[in-house]
Amino acid sequence: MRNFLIILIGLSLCSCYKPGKIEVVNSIDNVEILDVEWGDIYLVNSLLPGESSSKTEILKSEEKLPSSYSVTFKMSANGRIIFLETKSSYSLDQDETLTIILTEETEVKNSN
Amino acid sequence: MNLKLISAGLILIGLACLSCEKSDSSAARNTVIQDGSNVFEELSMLINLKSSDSSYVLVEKIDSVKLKVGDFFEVKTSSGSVDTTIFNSYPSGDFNVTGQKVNYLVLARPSLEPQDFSTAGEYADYLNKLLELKTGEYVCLLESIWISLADGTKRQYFPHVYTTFTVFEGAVTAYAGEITIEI
Repeated sequence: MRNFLIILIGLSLCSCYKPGKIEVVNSIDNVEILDVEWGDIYLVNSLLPGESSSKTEILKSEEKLPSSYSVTFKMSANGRIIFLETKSSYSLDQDETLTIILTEETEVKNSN
Repeated sequence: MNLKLISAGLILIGLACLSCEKSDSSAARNTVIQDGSNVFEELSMLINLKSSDSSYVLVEKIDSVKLKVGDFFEVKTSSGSVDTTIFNSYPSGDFNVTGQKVNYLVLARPSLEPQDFSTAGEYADYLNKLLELKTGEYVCLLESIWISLADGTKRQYFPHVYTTFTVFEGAVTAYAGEITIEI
C-alpha cells in the first residue's frame, strides 16, 4: 500500500513538470551550422543559412528547468569546420519556448 | 515492513536517478578540422629594384606590393625590411643605389589568421576566405609597388610582371622566384 502511494506521488510530481522548448535559427550568411547543443542537450544536426530547427522539448529527465547554458555548435563553410561556443548563456524555464537566433553579431569564442 | 521501506527507497532512488541523467558530450574540441585538403598559407618571392645604370635601388622596404593570382586571390603586403646601413650606397637621381643586388623578401598570405575573432560573423568570414589551391602551376601578377625616394616621398610603380609558381601536393606554401623590376 505504501509502495503504491509512493509511486502515485512520484508520478504526480512528474506530471506537474511542464517541459520547455528550444528552437534554433541560423541567421548567418554563407555558413552551415552543425551539431547545436544547449549545455549538453543536443538540439539540431544541421541548419542552412536562414533555416530554423523544429522545437526540441526539454524533458525533466534531460534537464531540470529553469536552467541557463551557453550554446555550442560547429560552423562549416568552404569545406572546413570550426567549433564555437556563445559567450552568453540562454535561459529556459518550464513551459517556455526559447528561440536562439545565431546571427553574425552573436558573440562567440572558439571552444576547446 | 522493512522490505516495503527498502523497495520504496529503491523506487525513489530510481526516480531521482532518472531526473539526474545527463549525457556527457563535452569531449575535447579542436579548432579547425580540415577535410584532407590544404589551406594555402603563403606565397613567397624575392624582388630587387634595378636602376637604369645597372645598380640596385636601396630602400628599407617595398611597400604595398600588390599581387594577383588569377581569380584565386589578391594580396597587398609589404616586403621585409633590409638594413640599409650594411650596403655601400650613393645617391643617383631620386634614389640611393648600391652596386650589390638587394633582394626584398615578400610573403603574401591570402588567408586570414583565426585568432582575435569575437563574433560569429567574423568566424564565418574567416572560413569563407580560407583559400585552397590544388596541386599545379599558377601565374602570379606583380601589379604595383610603392617605394620611398631619397627625399622621403613615396612613389608608386606599376611593373606589371608575371611570374609562375608551383603548388606541390600537400604544400601550403609556394615560392614564386626572383623578380627584377627596372626602375
